[in-house]
Amino acid sequence: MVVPAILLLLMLLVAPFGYIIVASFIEKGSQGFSFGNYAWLSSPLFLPSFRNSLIIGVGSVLLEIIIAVPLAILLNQKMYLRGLWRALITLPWAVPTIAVAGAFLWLGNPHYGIFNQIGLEIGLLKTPLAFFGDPDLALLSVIVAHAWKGLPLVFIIVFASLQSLPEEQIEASKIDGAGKLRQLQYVILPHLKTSIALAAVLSGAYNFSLFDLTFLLTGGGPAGLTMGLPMLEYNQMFRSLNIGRAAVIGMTIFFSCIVALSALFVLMARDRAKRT
Amino acid sequence: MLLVIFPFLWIVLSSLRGVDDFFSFELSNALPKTFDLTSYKLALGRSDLVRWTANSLFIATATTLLSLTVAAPAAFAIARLRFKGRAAGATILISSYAIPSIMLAIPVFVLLTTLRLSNSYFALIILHATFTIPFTTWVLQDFYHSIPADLEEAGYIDGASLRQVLWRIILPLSVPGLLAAGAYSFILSWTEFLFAFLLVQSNDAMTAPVGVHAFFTGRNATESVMAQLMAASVFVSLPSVIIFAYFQRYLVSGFLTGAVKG
Repeated sequence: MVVPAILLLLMLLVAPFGYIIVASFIEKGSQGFSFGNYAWLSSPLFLPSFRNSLIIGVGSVLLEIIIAVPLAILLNQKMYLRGLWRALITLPWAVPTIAVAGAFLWLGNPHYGIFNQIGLEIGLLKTPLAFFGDPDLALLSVIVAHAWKGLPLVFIIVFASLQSLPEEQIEASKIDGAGKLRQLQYVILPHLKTSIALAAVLSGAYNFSLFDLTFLLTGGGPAGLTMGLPMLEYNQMFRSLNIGRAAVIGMTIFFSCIVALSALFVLMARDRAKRT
Repeated sequence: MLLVIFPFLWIVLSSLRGVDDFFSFELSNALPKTFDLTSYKLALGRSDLVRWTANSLFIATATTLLSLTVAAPAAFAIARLRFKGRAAGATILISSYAIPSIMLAIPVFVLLTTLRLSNSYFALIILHATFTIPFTTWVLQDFYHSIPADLEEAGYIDGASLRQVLWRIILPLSVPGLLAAGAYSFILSWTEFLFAFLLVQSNDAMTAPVGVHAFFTGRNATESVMAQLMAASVFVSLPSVIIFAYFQRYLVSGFLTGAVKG
């Protein structure tokens, strides 16, 4: 019964994967196998994009954790309209990327965006800011948009883990005289450690390899400052028509994610071994 | 918390503000007093948004049906049956999810253009299935684990074959799981941009997100189009947001852990 699913996936995933591996060894305009495309990875075109992707991945995940973890702890308490709040926090997951981009482009609009309007009105800003066009701001703005889209995932993982925290542990710590802060420090946060790490790596890998959002927000601009690996791969493939280089970039994205995931599993296994 | 909802709330509010006061922003005016649907009328009138939405509906529905048909038996087998290669099969299914879309985009594009299958619904449905199948399998096998095995065993004792147990006992019990998994698969396909963007260029076959991009952003993104972009953004978000609003109560960890796809 598993066979149809696996056959379909093998056909659609493994065959293309093989194609990519072969393509990565063929340099544009030359015959036969070579490592030319891999050598290109040390070029000044590739390295900044790799760095940008890392910054987008790590930066957005930090933001997500800073916002999602307190929200999850807050919503784990009994409170009014809890279900509604949870639904609203996880809503961005169901919003199509095009609408996410539309929303952030409008919020950050240099002439009519709400942040500029308020900033100018209360005198915080002297000149309007082009959130997605200003070289100093663009990468940060792109990170914020990614964090918004990725927040539901981190929230749900952390929230689910909180719900599995036995009530007795909290009760026990109360009996031992621990206040809210100590409960947080010694019971809740240690319990959440693994799920936060899991959420961070999953969401980080996702944002690291996400193409749509950057493409729709900035297209990699201004002057390539928000150009991450997926955007670079797209440009190599469809603008420069260099399949070999695009394939090598694809491999880099894939193996970066694999490395991050493996590191996570090693850490989790070691953590589990320590506890038993 | 309000900060989290704000971006979406803001485009909804902006889209309802009408075209005349769209740019004249005043804080006292942030909540529109009357709902003005001019932006929606303009956006729908100028573009083929209705057509694109119909395309998206068709593609997302077909993708969902295809993935449920393939994933439900696979999920059941992984959760319940003991057979050779079960672990390997499960690993292949789940880990196929880790392959980033942008990496697949290259070979898939080359292959489909060679076969002259670009611009077809069929190609896009199959491509969306590459991530909805692992996802729904993951969600459903979680679900099957939660169904008590006693019911099936009672069926076997009464002399039912595996096929009869599946049709008479498992399938009726699966309805809630299938609905939830289907809803999520629909959302994933509905919101997908990359494959739809690369493969479908003809106006008639575009999906709604790609159509909105082609028509309201990019080259055409003058500021006067902004009001329409807001209306169009809200419009394409509605189906997935409504489905999500209804099914989010089933949103357990497994669902979104499976929902990571770059």
